[in-house]
Amino acid sequence: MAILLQLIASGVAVGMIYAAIAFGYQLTFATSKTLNFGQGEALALGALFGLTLVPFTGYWLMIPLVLVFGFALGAVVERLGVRPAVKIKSEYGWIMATIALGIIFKNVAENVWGRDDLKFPSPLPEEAIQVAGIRILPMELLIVAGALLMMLAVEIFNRKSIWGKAVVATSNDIDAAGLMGINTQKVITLSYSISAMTAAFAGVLVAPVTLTGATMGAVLALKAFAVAIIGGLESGLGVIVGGLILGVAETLTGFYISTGYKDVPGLILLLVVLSIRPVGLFGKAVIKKV
Amino acid sequence: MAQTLAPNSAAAPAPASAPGLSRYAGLIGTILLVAFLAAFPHVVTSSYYIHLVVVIAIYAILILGLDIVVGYTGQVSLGHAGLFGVGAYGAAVLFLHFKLGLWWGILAGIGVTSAFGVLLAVPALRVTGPYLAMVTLAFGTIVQIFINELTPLTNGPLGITLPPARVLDFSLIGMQAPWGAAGRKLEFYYLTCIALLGTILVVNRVVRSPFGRAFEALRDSPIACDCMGVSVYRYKVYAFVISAALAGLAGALFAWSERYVAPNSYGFELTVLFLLAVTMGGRKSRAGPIIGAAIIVMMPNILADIELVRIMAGLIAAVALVVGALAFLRRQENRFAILVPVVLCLAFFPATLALQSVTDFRLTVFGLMILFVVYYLPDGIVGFVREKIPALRPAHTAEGKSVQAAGAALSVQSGRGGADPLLRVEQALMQFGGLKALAGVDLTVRPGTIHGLIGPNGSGKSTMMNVLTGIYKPTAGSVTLARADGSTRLDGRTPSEIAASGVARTFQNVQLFREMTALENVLVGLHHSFRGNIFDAILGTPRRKREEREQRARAMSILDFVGLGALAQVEARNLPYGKQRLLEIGRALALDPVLLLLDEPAAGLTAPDIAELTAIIRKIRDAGITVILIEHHMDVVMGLCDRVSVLDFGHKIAEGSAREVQQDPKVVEAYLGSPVADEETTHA
Repeated sequence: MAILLQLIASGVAVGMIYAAIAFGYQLTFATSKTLNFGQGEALALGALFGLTLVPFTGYWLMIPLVLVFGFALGAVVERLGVRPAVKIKSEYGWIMATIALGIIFKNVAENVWGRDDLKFPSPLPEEAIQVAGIRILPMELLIVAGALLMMLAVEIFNRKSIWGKAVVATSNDIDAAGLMGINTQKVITLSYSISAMTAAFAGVLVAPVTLTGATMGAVLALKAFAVAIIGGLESGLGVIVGGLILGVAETLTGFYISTGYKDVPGLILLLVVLSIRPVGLFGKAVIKKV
Repeated sequence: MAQTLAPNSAAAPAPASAPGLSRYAGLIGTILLVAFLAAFPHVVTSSYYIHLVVVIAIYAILILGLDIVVGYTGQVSLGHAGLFGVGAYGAAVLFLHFKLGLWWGILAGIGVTSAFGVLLAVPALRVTGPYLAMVTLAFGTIVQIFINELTPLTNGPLGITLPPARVLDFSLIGMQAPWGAAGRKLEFYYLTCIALLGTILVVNRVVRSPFGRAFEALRDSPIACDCMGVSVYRYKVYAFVISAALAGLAGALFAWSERYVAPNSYGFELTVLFLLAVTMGGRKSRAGPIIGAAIIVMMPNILADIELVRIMAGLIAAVALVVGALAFLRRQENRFAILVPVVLCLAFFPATLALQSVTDFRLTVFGLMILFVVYYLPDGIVGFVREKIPALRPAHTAEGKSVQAAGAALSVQSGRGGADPLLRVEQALMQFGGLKALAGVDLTVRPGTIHGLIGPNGSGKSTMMNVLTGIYKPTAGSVTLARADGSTRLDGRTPSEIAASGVARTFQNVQLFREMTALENVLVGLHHSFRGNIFDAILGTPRRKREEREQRARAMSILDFVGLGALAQVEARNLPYGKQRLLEIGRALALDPVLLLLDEPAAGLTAPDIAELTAIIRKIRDAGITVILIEHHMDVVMGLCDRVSVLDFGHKIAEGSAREVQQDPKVVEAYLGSPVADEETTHA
């Protein structure tokens, strides 16, 4: 029983990372029906950029700089990869373009930071603390708190600020929002910026407990997509539930079957959910109009 | 999108007789390819380059298969490297555990991978676009994980080493190979070449068969595809399985050509390279994938040689400079749009001078190539060449010949004017959440009549249409179609089953197969009359050829019937709007329907077009086909309909002859509002 609780506790932390990335997918999908296939690379670049900054600024001061970096990165992806493809209404176009940008980012990162995984200094003590017989790393608590805080901040931004309301309006009906004088093009860019910012932030959160490298994001991003699907690409906080389910499923698989198969449940879940209920567990079925 | 008018491109319909070169372009290309492949090992004897050609041929086999999924059915698959790996491991594992050689490996590769293709098709049936991309990506990742982890089966991360492949075993018949030791070394090379040529032949035949047309139809409009009796479901599975089988063949050959398989060779990057190859070479062609394969195989070799890279970068920069300068001197409209790529191409040259080696930036180069292709060369190299040299455009007709119309356009339906209703709808209820789009509507349609269905916007006309054709499943109520062999319940059936039982339709917003010619659109409608199976298509049997000839002639006569005979070879998207509407009717007629549903056929048409349309609808009725007509043009409705039903807010408020309905106060009220009601609200 203690082992089970322990596994669940560890699963929660990694699950929140998935939720944060999946949240980023939802943001751009809501405004433009597109998403960044290079989200994992945005995460890795955020972590690596943070790693370079840490010796000069320390962990806490580095975070706002990484956020700015992620924000800019998202705008670049939108401008180069998404906007031209959306203009020519090519779905294949934006999928391939964001993949291409992801590959380029990864390759550049490999050349700048090297191909080996690096150790990210932990800002918190690395000894586990005991809570009711369960060992929890302080960093895991930071991950959960940080990811929740990030999503909360974006939600507040969307509800309270005028730009956030523009994002919500665009998500509901892009044409109507455009007719009301909202510059939907800018809103889409903004959503990409916030999305990449979330990913970069997730990168510096997760880096101290994993290793840091150009390839760290690929599998995370794919599994986060599974989470976004489980939660529904259109529905708000389903991603947290989805992230928790997947995170726990993975630690259980890793412990009871083999760490080699740790990534499998997420991917199988993705295949199964899409085969049975493509709109996700929390999504609503859309009526097709003819 | 469907309603885009394209007057410019429509102005130049392709001539019915194809120009000479295009008829032979494929043949000339094949002869050149065969000559090149046959002569290559005798001209270039270096085993390194021979191996390079083998790898190109193997990749080309896979990419030709990928083109079926990407080019023809329009789905993005990121799982083909996984399928390639399954094929390679299928062959290698068979050798590792059972010492079975190349030929068994090829069989196993194709077999196992086809099974995986079915598996991959299951989610692909439910999702498209980014969802499918992610699903296939997940599939590829799972394959890699399992290959790594199932060590007892696959030897895990260590991989499997294979001995030299034995293509032909002469010792079995106690003979020496007639071509000596040097010739034996080329056996594998020629085997791969034959596999490539076989693949080209098979793909060519499949894409020109009803199967290929179904693939393109489901890409351009899945809903219309289903409503033509062509099950989107079934043909997606076919496309994935054929594509997967070719990936398996390529994988097995690859395993025996490299003589080593390892899990990491079949990852995400390879998948992206395959997609780059198919897009860069040119979708929907045979030459494109081969060119694409050559590029992705040779690129790393070129990049390894920094001098060569610098020379090429210099050439590219020079060309870019000329193109850019010309654009600005001629003040072309797109001169600012091409500024970015021109500057990038120019900047690439000094970058190569500064770098000592570009091998490390291989992926960046590939990424930039993808971006370039996606934005500036979306139809690939072959598409670009075809655009510049019209003679190389594919001749759409079979054997490049123009088709003679033959046979009756419409098969005359019996039972005209009978008293029993052809279609009976009872208490149809269609509920969307709290909204009752149809609130228990009864409708009976007598055979051989034109039955009008009118009502204000939002009254439930289109919902009724969608219920009748199976796009919506009614919440309650029944739909019964009377046929010669007894009556059939339609509610609860899929659109393609309903279409097969003789109900055809057109769409309010035109749903043509845009990238197919008018003739091909009608041929998709005729899909039901093809009896040949996939093996007929692959083998090109006489039955298949005869059927194709007959159905093309039949399609031509249908086009003549709707007045589009002269436009048979024009792609649907290039037809003027009015002609698109007529083509939709022609395509629906190809189903040999007993009941034809026309959803606002006159919407957006000019007066002369409407006159033509009414004449055609009358002719259809005279052939004994029952018509249900939804229309807002009251003169059309009043002039054509034998009987009219009026819907309002999901209820049927009136029914009768056109004249009766026109004078019904309830109908007037539904359209114009009631003066009494208005007064009441003002006083309230």
